[in-house]
Amino acid sequence: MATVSTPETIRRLHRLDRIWQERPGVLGWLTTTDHKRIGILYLFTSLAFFAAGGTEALLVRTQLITPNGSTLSPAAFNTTMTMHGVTMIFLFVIPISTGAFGNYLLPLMIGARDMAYPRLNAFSYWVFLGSGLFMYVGVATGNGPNAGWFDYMPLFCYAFLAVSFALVFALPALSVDCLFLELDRRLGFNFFNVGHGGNVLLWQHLFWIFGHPEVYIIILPAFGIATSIIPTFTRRRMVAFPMVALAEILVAFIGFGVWAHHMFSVGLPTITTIYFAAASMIVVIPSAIQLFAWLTTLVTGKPTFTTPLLWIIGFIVFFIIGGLSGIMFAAIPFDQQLTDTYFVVAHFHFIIFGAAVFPLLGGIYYWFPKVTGRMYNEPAGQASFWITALGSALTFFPMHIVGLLGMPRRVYTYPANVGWGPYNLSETIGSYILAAGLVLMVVNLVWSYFRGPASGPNPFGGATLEWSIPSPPPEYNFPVIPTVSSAYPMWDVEDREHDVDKLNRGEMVLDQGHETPASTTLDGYFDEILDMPSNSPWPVVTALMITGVFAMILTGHLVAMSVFLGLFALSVMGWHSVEPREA
Amino acid sequence: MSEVTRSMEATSGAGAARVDRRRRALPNGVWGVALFIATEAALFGTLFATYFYFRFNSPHWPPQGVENPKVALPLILTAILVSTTIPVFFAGRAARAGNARLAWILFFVALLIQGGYFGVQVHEFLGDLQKFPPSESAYASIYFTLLGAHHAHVVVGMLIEVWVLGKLLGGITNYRLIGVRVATYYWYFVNLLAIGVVFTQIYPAL
Repeated sequence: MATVSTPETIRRLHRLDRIWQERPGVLGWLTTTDHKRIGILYLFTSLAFFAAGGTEALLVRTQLITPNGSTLSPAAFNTTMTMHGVTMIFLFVIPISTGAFGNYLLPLMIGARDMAYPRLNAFSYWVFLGSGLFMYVGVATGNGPNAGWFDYMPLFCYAFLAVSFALVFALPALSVDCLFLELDRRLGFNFFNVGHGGNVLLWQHLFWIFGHPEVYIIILPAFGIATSIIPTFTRRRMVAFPMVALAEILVAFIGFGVWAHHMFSVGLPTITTIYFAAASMIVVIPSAIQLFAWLTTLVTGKPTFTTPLLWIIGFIVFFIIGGLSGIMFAAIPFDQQLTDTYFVVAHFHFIIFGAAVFPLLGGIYYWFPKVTGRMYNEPAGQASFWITALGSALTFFPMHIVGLLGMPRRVYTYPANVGWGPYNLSETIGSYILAAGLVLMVVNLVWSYFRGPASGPNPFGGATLEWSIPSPPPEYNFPVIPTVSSAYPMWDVEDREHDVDKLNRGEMVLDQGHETPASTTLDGYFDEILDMPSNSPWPVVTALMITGVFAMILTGHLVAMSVFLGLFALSVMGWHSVEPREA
Repeated sequence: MSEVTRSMEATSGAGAARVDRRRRALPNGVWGVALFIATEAALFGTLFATYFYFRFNSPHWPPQGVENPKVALPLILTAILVSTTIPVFFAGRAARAGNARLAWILFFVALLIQGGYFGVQVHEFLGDLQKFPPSESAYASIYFTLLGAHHAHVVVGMLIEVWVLGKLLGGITNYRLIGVRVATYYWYFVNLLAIGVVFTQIYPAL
């Protein structure tokens, strides 16, 4: 940002610093409502679960390294494999994309001072932490949605908008499904009990009504990160911006109409399967729009192949391969032949690891300087990409072949005489190479956090608003709410000078309290000034109580459950007892 | 921009009403309840879908040995509940005009009617549990889950009303006014749901 000149301006900035200062120490983190701090909490928590899920994957691969392996018992294998899946989907990919990236970056990209519901945001983190720990203690439970906010938006934000709406409408199906299961198990209800008129397929329908939108919930943030990184490193605007924005929304929408393609082999009527096969084929259209937009932007720009862009290119390659095997599955006979084989495992690891996680890792490199104020080491960053990409290819590609050879998924071992040994050996070696690449990344980032050179506010010449403020960002994010006239505000130099002028004149600095402006919905005209909540103990206390309620329901302690329910009601009242002057 | 408006400065009924008239942006509280209602609608949509999924996979509905549901009583009860939309609506209007007293009375009237409704419904619910327990059929499982879910929403709505009544005793502020709006929108939703629930409930007897 241009220089801040007058002593009056410096006084204003100091006043903002003082007003928005967070409480220090552990108590500050427990009571925080700052979206950046919550984002960091989400990041480290989900990365810890990533490490746990990764360790589980390595255990699984070690068991499968040779025929008749005996590292794990069959029961331990099943538990490890299940926890690997549950951890990676529910405790790593979703929370890191919406919780960490969405939380930290969305307000910074749209020029806001915080999320719309800062305390609810904190509450969602603590509930997530509670449920994750609870799951690792041993029993499964669900967790709640987290909605973003929008104004003018870069493509990243359109992607997150689509994700938020998908979460709002998809998660209730899972909640109801789990409620039915719990009622069946605890109170003897008959939702899935065929003997009393129930239907097992109901579980599958409801699970996949959630589960397929869920796939797009996982992949869309990756698309959003790709559309942030590509313009920065190719020095050009995204090709076909409105088409890409529409495609992102469309993917989330179509995702609700394709659930039964996970169920082609359960005996649905032919007309049903044909409809779902056709609907699934349609997903190709918005996906291809985005793919060609990324490729065209790369080809017509001036790309510099540094670490973040390398991850995105790796993402595009893996997404194409995983997409092609996905189209194959939309063909019903093919699906019936290969469902529940390693071919499926290969397909969804190309999509979930290659296409969803690569951009997340690239995004961690890309925004590392913004969050920490330090640069990572470039050669080590590039090396970590190549090692991880090589390891991923070596791990996941042979799964296609063993799948075609007939190896079923979820088996804990296999005989020596079926010829699957060499492929499984390659997969296991690959998984260790992959892990080595990730370890190198962690080492790079930890070292850079302490020893890396200072990055300055905008080391890559990024186009979105988060690059207009210092690294790491001040607690109030923006001294004046920025003027925006395109989706690449950092390249609109006049707008940025206008902001500095406003700060120097003291116009709309909002330094009388924890304040933020509100605008009208459709036109974005300034309407009024709101007072935002600051540090509050209630989100963490309330989350603790609600976790207690569910823990007691699941362990069958109904009296303790009632006590927690009462405490929960009290903490909700406490939450609202001090009237914020804003609402 | 010295005439910048700070809505939180509206701590009197008249001030809050003035802010409310001038405001063009939707308050965060209203956005919040809208999103909340969206997830709740999806949740009930799943319950309705489950009901009819079972219905079209069953030769007998309700299953043999279970008598058809009553028709008149559930319809009358629902009509009574839906009629509370009127006091709730006018309570919201009174609050927006800065009249805390009238708003309080109207909310209290609504709460009394809803409390009576809820009492009769619980009585019916427990009676039905004796007749066809959910441990015996999928029909009973979804019947009690659907009705129980709606009753739970009525309870939450009444708790919100009790809270609003407590707050209104201290007069109207900008924050409380938005709270009142949230409460009214929530009740519109619960009342609308009641119509869907009751017709699903009595559907086998129609």
